[in-house]
Amino acid sequence: MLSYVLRQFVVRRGRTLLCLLGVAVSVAMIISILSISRGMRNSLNSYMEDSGASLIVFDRSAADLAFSKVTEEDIRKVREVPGVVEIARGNFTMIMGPKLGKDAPIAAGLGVIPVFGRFYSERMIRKYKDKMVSGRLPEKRSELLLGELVARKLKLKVGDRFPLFREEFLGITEYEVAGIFESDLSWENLGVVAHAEVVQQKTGPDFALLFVYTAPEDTSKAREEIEKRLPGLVARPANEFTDRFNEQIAYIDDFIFLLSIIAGIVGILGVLNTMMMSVSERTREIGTLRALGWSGRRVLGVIVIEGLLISIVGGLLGLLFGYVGTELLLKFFSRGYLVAAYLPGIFLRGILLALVGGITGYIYPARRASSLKPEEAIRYE
Amino acid sequence: MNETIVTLRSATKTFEGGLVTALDDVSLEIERGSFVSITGPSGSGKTTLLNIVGAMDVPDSGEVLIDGSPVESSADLDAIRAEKIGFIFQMHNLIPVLTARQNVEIPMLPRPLSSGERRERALGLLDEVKLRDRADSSVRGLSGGERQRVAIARALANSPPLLLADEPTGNLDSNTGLEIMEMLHEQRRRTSAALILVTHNEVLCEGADQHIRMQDGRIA
Repeated sequence: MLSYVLRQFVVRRGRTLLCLLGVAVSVAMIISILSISRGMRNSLNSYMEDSGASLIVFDRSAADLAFSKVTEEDIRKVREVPGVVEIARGNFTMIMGPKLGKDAPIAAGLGVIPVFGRFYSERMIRKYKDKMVSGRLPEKRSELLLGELVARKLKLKVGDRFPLFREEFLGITEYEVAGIFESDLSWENLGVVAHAEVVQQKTGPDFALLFVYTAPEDTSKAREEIEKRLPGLVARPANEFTDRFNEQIAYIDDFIFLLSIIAGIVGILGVLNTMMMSVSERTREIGTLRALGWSGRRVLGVIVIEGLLISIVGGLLGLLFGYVGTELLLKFFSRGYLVAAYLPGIFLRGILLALVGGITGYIYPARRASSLKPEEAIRYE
Repeated sequence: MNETIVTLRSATKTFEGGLVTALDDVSLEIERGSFVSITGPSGSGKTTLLNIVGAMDVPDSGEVLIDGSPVESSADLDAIRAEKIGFIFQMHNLIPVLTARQNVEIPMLPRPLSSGERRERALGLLDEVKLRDRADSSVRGLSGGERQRVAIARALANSPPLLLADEPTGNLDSNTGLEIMEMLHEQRRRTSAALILVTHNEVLCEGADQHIRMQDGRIA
């Protein structure tokens, strides 16, 4: 029976290829969507945990980090909490397409530059010390650290000066590259680390979050005290912050889930259509098999085996296409700040989709084929 | 020659909610090893009779026995077709993606035979129809006569006691048609299977032990 199925694949190459592609493309889409989404989430998590802070403090009412506001008054009160040793202010902003230095437009492929203001803290600065590839840490407000990717794309080196913003902030129009760092986080490599006061000029007087450092034994008490004194703020250990952050971006998960469902449905419809054609063109053949004594169940078995093989091979191809396609997309279109994480769970989901989608796409044609009356099928034109 | 292989008693079959009577109270008996021809104009009930004798359909009323087994429900049909009947169709109906040998093996697949046993038996049958040297050829590359010889070998795969040939020479030139008929009779004699031939060609009916002429759903 297997040889019959395999011969069908070999001789009807076109149909086999279409079925394989239907499954593979759907799986590849899922792999690509999920791995990029997971990669970005992992990057954000790493970024937070990388701070080494005991607590992350942010706005309780903010639906997203971008809307979190922590004022200078809040910072003053947090500083007074017993056990708090040091505070680093954090702000995140994105600058869309400024002209950077030497009258040149932004280098091709670079339209968005994240700017991270995480200074006012020796500890935070020291984090970058281990990542430096050239130059030194900034010592004044007019000095910057550049991610390795930004420096490479803009052809900037240590000592070069360039206008980060169009506006003049704190009397500064040009900023000097004090050092260049290389981070494990690709999107951070595309970032500029600037003095917090400078970033504050761009983003407004408030900060998005605070990195609070305490002695380990004081962390729990400091957390309670901060939330007691400042009910509008939330204090979380870094690992819990990422959980909370993940909850906050649940809508992204929903969106991705919907995309996955759509990709799955497209795949199932593709396989269903191809299989319907295949079964239809084989009506007479199936009738002959039935006339020769093959039971409806045996015919059903043949079509299901075809479906399983197509699903498995298509699924594996989809994993390969998904991986290669995602890498190519990231290389040529992501501008360097997207990253993918290929977790076993993602590949497992891809294979599950292939099996469920492929078999679902085969069930109707298989049932139809197995219920054909031999005398009618034999005379089918 | 006196063992009955097919018995029909008052078999009736209607279609379109009883408006069309394709088989009307037909009774007949066919002996093992005999040659039976069925003729009749289009719409006379030949095909319906063939479907019922070939266990592809059941009558609305009446009784059918094939090699002693009653055909009472659709559930019985698959096994009866697999074990008791060998079909030879006008268009040969070979599976185009398979080789000659694989086509002959198709009816054997539901049976508990090893792949080696199936292979040996298929090669033996192809030898009987003088096509052993083409065993591994795709059937697409065979001539019309060769294809029909493969179909004969396939019909004999499970050593059925009944061979049903529906216009087996309809698509062949007269010489090749006569060769095929000669081969069918040779195999009938060798296996002692009954051969039921449905045809429009009266010449092919010569020598029949029993001649059934259908007219308006009845045996004329």
